[in-house]
Amino acid sequence: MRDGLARRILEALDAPGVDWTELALDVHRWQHAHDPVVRALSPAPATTLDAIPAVPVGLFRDLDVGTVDPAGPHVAFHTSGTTTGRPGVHRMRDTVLYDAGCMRHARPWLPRTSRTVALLADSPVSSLAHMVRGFAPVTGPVTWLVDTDGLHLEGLERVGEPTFLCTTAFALDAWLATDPPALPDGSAILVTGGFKGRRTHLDAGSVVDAAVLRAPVVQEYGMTELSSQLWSRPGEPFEPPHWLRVTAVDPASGVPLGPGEVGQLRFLDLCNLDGTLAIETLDQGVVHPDGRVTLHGRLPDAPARGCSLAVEDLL
Amino acid sequence: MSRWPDVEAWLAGLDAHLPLVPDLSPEGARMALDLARMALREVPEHLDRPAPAHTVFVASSTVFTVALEWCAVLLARGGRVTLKVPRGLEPWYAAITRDTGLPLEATTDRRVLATADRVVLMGSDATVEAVRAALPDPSRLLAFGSRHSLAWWTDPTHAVDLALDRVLYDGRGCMAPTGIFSPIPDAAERLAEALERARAVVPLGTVHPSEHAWIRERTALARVVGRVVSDRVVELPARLWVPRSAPGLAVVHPVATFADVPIDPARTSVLGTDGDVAEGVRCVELGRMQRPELDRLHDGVPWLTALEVW
Repeated sequence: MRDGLARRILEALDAPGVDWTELALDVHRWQHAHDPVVRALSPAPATTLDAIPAVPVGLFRDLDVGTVDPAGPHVAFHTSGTTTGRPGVHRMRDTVLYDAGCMRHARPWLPRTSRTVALLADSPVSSLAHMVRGFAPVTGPVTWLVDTDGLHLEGLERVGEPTFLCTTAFALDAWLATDPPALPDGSAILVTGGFKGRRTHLDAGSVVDAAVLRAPVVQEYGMTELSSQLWSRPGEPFEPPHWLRVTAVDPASGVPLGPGEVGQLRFLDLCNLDGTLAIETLDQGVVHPDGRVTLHGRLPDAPARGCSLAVEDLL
Repeated sequence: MSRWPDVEAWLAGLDAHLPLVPDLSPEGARMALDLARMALREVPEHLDRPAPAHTVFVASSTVFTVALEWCAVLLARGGRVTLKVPRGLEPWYAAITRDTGLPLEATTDRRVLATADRVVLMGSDATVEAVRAALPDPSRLLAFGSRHSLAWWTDPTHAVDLALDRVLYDGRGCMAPTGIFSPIPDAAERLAEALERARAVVPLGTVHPSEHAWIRERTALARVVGRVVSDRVVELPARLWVPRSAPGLAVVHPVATFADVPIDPARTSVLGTDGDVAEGVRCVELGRMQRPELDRLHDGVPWLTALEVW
């Protein structure tokens, strides 16, 4: 059953016209039968998309969410644990769906460069590091410039070939503070992670504007608990892939809001077959009628989290 | 000569400004102010010590009365006080410092920190760290970072006291119980009933979007591994306690013994208890958690004397 669903999802990635609702409900019914968390949140399987229970991301650090037996073979991505010190874990039987979905949507956004430089730490449990490694066939071999000793910006000093610079907002800000020269022609910068840290709140607009002077910038929004990502260019809404539905909900009630209303963001990700189909974040934003999303950062006063904080701690 | 009569008059006149208190219901703001002023009747007993010439008090945003006791003591002892006010409470602090006849002012300008003989700070660990780094003389700083409080409840008849600890300030302050640990079999039901009655008198104020999200998250967690007892109370295993309190939602953790209460003297601000007490932690009766007595160890510091030492 699981493999059959995986095959149908893989086919759906290349077929935007497929009956998305039917497939999502089939995935939900299968998850309902195999994930006690989903069953507890919805005693009977949902019959509409809106009724599929969205698991709050915080539950990933408290519970084994998903259909994967933690004692069996699996791949696990961990959150940075920056909010509580306890990481959340997203388990999957393999990364076939993750990789297919990630690359299918990322490819048009990726530059064809000679090398990739990551102002990130390489880690087998980081979904972000996994994603960047996956870019290498398109953007070039990866050099990692963050380790337990900190951020090694000197690794960027002798860049002489088109480079894809993958960075969190805080590492980007640290690099820009060195007043670096423009990157070589053909280079591009990928910015990911939030702009709000525990100690510092970066001005997203000015950081990105300053980065644009060094190379074209693309932005990515994703999280450990999701298998799919959203991409954008500076100043434009984020584009989800067609297999990722984004809904803004009222934080008080969880009820979906209309297009254009600011709300707490909820994601329904078909590639989350082994994890859980629907998750609810502590981020807020607007979902436009065309499905694109304008992010408004964290819900006011929600604890900061994410890969940016891990780098902020090293700065 | 003590300024206490002037300070007392200032405290008595604060009622007019209660509508400026954000987030709490009018009844909640009134109750908090009345109870805070009640504790300040003891101030005249603690005026035999000098005050720094100029103290800057950096107030946290969660409890609107927190500055009152510090101001009352410092002003009555003859000092001057500047309140560095937090986001959201500017109107309240502006009003209570206007035309008082006391050397008391409010500002949002953080440069004032550099001018003080003494800086008293209550805030997150990150804020403490940032302020300490910015001060020309960090030894002038008396800082209280992030702490949380817990309740140990053994006698069912104390439900109403515990409800008061949760209702005051809508449960936002660092002295509100983040987790209620109890061996009472129907503790959650009893607390839900007491909270229902308490909320009929003191309605819940404004709940912010991130707080709503947190409440829904805890409620979802309770559906999976605990119990949702009412809109106001959930029950969760003790291992899932987290040091965060949500307005309007109390979390009860069933435990067998006091040893199961996750007390950490370095992090626990107050233990409300009707039974065992813990070493190295300020222990108070249930119902007194958010009504601290004036002469106390504040997060381990004898604040009434610490004010003058630097």
